[in-house]
Amino acid sequence: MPVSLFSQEEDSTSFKPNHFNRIQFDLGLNKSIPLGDSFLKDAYDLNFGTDFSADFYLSRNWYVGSKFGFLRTEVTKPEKIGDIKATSIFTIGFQGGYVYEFNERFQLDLIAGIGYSSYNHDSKFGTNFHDSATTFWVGPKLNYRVNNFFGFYGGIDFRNDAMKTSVPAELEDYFGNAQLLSLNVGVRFITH
Amino acid sequence: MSRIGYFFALCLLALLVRSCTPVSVADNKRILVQGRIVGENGEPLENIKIRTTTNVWRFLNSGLETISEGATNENGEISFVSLDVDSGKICLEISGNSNSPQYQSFIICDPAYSRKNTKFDLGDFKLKKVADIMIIASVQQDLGFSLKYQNANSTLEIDNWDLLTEYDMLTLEDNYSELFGTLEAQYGKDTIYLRTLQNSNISLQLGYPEGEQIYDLEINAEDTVYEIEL
Repeated sequence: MPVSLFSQEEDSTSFKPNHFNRIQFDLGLNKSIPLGDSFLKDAYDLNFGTDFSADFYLSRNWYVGSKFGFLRTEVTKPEKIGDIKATSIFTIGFQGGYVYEFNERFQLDLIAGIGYSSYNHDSKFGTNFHDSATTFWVGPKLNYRVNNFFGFYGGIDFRNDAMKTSVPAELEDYFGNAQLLSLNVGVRFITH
Repeated sequence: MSRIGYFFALCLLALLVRSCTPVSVADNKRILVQGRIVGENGEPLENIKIRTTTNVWRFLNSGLETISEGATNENGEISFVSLDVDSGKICLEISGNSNSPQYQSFIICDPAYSRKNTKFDLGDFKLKKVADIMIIASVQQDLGFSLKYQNANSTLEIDNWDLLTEYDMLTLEDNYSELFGTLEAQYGKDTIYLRTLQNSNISLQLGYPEGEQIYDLEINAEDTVYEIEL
C-alpha cells in the first residue's frame, strides 16, 4: 500500500498548530538554586531534580495540566535543621500555560502552577517524617519541535514553597518560605 | 503451642514492633533551644553542651538518645534547632560536667507525650561549680546518718516549658538528694565522700540513741575537707 505509507510520513514531518484536546507530556531534568535566607539555602546542597508534566490543550494557545517533581538533596549543615540526615522533595500540582508561537518550530510557553510539596526527611533514628508546603511556580519554557509529535525544551522557573512548619517567631523567616530558581531541560511528546 | 508459648510469641512480636519504630519524629515542627548559660556571678560559660533527648526503644535496650545538640559560645549563648517527637517524652540536658572546672548538670524532662511548644528558652540559666568534698567525722560509736545535699546532676520534671527560666524557684526540693549510711567507730574517724555544689548547704543528721542531732555545713569554694567532732 505505497499511498498509505506516503501519507503517514507526510503527517509526521508537517507542523500542525496546537488545537483543542491535544495532550503533551514533558519529561525533564532541572538544576535548582536556592534563593534568599532560608533553611534550604543554608543547610542543603541540591542535586539534579526531575519533573514530569502532562498538559491538555484547551485551544491553540492555552493548556492546563498537572506536574510532578522530585528533588534529592544533600544535608550540609544538619545542626541548622535539627540533625536531619537526608531530605527528598516531592511536588505535585496543577498548572496552566500560554503558548506564544514564534514560528512553527519555536514556541515560548509561559507557565504558572500551584501545588503541594512534601519534604521527606530521614531522621538519625532511621525513622521518616515530613514537612509540607504549598508550592507556587511560574516561568517561561522555550521549546523546539523536531516534528509534529516530538520536541525539546529549555526553561527557567521561579518557585516558592510556603512551609507549614510550626516554629517560633524567631525562625519564621528562616523556615517560613523556601525559594528556588530552576533551570530545566527536557523532551516533549505531543499526541495527535 | 501451649498458652505460655503463645504468650512469649506475643511478647516477642510486641518487642519487634516496638524496636522497628524506635522514635516517631513530629511532622511539620521544629523547636528552638536558646538562652545563655552563666556562672553564679553571671559570668558566661563557654562550651557547655546542651542537647534534646528522647526515650528510644530498641530490640534489646532502651534509653535516652540525643535528638539534636549544641554548645555555648564564648558569650555563653546557645541557639540550635531541634526536632520534636510525637508521641514521646522529650528532655533537655545541660551538661556542665565535661568542662574544667566542672559545673552542675541538669536533665529536664517533659513527661507529656506531645506538646505545642516550639521554643525552649533557658533565659540566663545559672550553673554552680561542682565541689568534691570529704566530711571527716570523729566518732566514738557507730552512728546511722542521713545527709541532705544539693546534687551535681539533677533530674527535674517540667510540665510548662515557658517556666524553664524559673526552674530553680519551682523545683528547689528536686535539686536535693539524700544519702543514708553508717559512720563506723572502728578507727575513731570515718569519712564521707560527696559530690555536691560550691556555695550550697548540706545537712547531716545523726541518729544517736538518745535522739537525732543535725549539723549544717556551708560548702564554700575553697575547702574540700570538712571535719566534725562529735
